[in-house]
Amino acid sequence: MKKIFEVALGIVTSIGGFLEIGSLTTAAQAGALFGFQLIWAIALGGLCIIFLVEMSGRFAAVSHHTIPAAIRERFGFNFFVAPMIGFILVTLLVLAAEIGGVCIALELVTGIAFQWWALPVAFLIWLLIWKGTFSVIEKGASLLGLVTLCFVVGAYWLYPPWNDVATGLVPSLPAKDEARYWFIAVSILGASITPYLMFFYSSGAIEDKWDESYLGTNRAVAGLGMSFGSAISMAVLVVSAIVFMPRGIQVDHYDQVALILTPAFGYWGFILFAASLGIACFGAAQEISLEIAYFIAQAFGWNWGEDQKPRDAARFSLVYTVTIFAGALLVLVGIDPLKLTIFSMALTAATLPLSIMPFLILMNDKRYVGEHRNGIISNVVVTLIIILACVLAVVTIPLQIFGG
Amino acid sequence: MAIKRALTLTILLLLFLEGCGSPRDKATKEIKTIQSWAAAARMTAEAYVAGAAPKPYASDTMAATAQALEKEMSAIQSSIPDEPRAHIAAQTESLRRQVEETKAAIDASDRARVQQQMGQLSSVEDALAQILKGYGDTTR
Amino acid sequence: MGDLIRDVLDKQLVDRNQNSIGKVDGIIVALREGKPPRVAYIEVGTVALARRLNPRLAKWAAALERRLKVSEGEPYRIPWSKVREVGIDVEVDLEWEKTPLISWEKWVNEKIIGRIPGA
Repeated sequence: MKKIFEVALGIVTSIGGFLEIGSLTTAAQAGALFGFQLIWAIALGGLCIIFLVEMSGRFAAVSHHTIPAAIRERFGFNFFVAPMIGFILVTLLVLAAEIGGVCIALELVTGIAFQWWALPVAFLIWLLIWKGTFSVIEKGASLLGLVTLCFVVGAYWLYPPWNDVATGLVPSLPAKDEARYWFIAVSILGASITPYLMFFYSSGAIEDKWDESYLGTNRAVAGLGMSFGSAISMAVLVVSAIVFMPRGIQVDHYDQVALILTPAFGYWGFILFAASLGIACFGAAQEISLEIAYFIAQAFGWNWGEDQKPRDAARFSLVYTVTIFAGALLVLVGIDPLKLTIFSMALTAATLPLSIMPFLILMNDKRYVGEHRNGIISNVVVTLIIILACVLAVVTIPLQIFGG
Repeated sequence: MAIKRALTLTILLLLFLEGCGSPRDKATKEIKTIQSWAAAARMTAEAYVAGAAPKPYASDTMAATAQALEKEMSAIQSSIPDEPRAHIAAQTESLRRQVEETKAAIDASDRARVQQQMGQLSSVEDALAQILKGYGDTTR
Repeated sequence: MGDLIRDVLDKQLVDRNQNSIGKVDGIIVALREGKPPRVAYIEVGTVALARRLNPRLAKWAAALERRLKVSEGEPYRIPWSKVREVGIDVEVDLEWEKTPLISWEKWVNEKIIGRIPGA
């Protein structure tokens, strides 16, 4: 009975915690510019993250190693430095984007410019982690995150042409604007395949002392949680395609996204959007701040854990403190959150091989996972999607920056 | 690795064929961006009149739109060939003025005037669509 | 020998009370005439780690640690005889609080974290 409850809670929190600034923004842009045509990218990214989250849980349950520790141990510190620095820098940008998301939500409801919210928001994120009430808050934020299901309801209410939606599941070439099309596809992949998510999930499994008896739970949480999560992203795309595309609105500015739900829900649509954005980004910002600190602590062998008193894990606490305020600083100086989001998502995609391939090798190493090694299908699927994302990123990012 | 190379080549080829730098495409793109701002401003005004968007948000959106249009003006000056430039610039300027008037109407909580402005915004959108049509774009 | 390096280097170190006290950042091997080489010490610390990347980096790390009075600028050496068990972690028969390995943690606590209310 306890296990069923655990599975249910796991699934619910991963659904509620799925949507964040990256998946929301990229899906909204895709829908506004290309209608239902890019749904395949969300499906592909979703498939990849299902595999990866399942693997990272399995890795924790079987090997009892955290992923950063295992990568360092298996490949040596000199190799490990590159993925570590890459992960930290990219994830810091993503954190800044999430903090920006919370600030925009606050700007929408108060009319006070988003920069002013950067420090208060950072302080609140920090305080909740500092006070050590994190596990409660995290589950709470994920449960509140279920408000993002309003996009699914909205999508139904707007009567989408289901045939066209289904057609979008098959990749196709765009009639115009190829460079933009592929760049958005890349950002969607980067927004779905988030390394911090799997590392965080795996850290949680270690803290909860998972063993092989959790493999079933893990499969259910990863499979169902991530697929329903991706369904929410798809709903965002569908709503955006119905609301923005016929009007010719391209979503160049975050103000423009704010009206995405008003055709479906009127005034409540505006409130629901602000709430979804604020809660989803707040939850993600907390997870990311903690994950950066986990990662560094696990890499250097310090005490770590969400329920440790700051005094008992001083270096760990220092890392998340510095991280949160560094992220807030990027928002404070007024970098456009929309651009920051899209850019950091594309960068995530570009660095995927660096962060994922070593882990994939571990998942095939008997010394860590014994008989629970990866099968051929999961290896091939993940490798192909990651290489595709990286190649597309490397080609499209320069085009996007230097004008195309 | 073979897959990687093939993919790269395909994409590069596609992008090359697209010829993303031609002046014609730039102009089309510019017009569409301005159209997008116009449509978004009208949608915001609509939502405000219907009571679906709060006043501070609507006012801020108009301010941000006016600012973005000013930036577009300089982009137009530098990237669009002479022939459609004057037309586009004129419409952009008139759009910016309409957006600012809409903002003033919102700030004054004058819903009737905001509603009037929606008509004005819509006619700018039509004018832009005309320019685009004259330019031979039929993709939208 | 290669096996031992693979099994021990970069592993998590824990003390007698299961505190995470760092990683196996280096290994000191004693060469013996006519006999196979033997691990003499485990090295732990920023300096040992930096030395693996780049000698200049190691010098900077040592200077930093001396300046902040965190260490003498030398890595801490744990005799192999103190190693109790090599499993997922390497457990050593020491108490963290009584080794210099705690000095960075202490420094951060005293200078920064401990000064914030609620720590």
